Amino acid sequence: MYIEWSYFAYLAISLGVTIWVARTLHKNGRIFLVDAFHGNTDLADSVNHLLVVGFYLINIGYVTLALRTNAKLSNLRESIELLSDKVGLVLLILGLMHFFNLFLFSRMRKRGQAAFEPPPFPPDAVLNMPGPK
Amino acid sequence: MKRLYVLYDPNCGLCTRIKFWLVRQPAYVAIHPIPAGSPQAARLFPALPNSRKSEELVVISDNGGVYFGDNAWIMCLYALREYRATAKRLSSPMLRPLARQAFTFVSRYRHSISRQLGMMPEAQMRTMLKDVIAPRCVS
Repeated sequence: MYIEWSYFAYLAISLGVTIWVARTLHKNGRIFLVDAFHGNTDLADSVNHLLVVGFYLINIGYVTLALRTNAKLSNLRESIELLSDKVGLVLLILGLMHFFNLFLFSRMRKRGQAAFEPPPFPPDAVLNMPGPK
Repeated sequence: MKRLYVLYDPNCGLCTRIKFWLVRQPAYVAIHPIPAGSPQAARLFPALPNSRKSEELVVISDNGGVYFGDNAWIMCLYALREYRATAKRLSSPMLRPLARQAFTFVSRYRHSISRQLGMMPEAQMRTMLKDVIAPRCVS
């Protein structure tokens, strides 16, 4: 009986944390993306949504793949230990994915800002430019 | 800044190759290459100071800023979408001297580098293509 309860607890905790992290990303990442796309909220929302979908797919995929175990559980202690092993790994992967997403957000924002960046140094000389326009 | 005029050396194979590469890149600032010393360059920029070595790479922005040598090269990178971050990095105090040395080296030996790599200068390309007789289209 221990193994089934461990599976249920594992799925509940892992999916719960996945949903929580995804919603946090979705809510707080939006402002980065709006800034990156120069206030184009439609595009920002669309990219945000697509990122969250990818995040869900990868994490739920990993959670379901990592469910299986060959351990024989004979008491509560063993089942808690197994659960903590599995959930710990899921949390680490979620953390990595979360930082990877933050990295993507900040890179998109930097890219967006680059368009307005002034030249890195002043010119060596200045010409009057009546001619070419 | 909307445009960047790049006065490059048409007698240098490497410069010709880099020019073709530059204009193909996605850019924030449009790049207009003009052969240095050509009538077009003289017409567009009659006031360009000649005191600087005419051998040097010169870049002129549409608001009149003139950049020479390694600064000119960094400005070309600044114009490009994919390389603006690199331009910023190269102009930081730590990398600037290194970038300057590398640019001066390549600029000084550009003719021998072009020969070694078999890159044909634009001027030579033009004279060669003049002798080619294109086959006529059969309608």
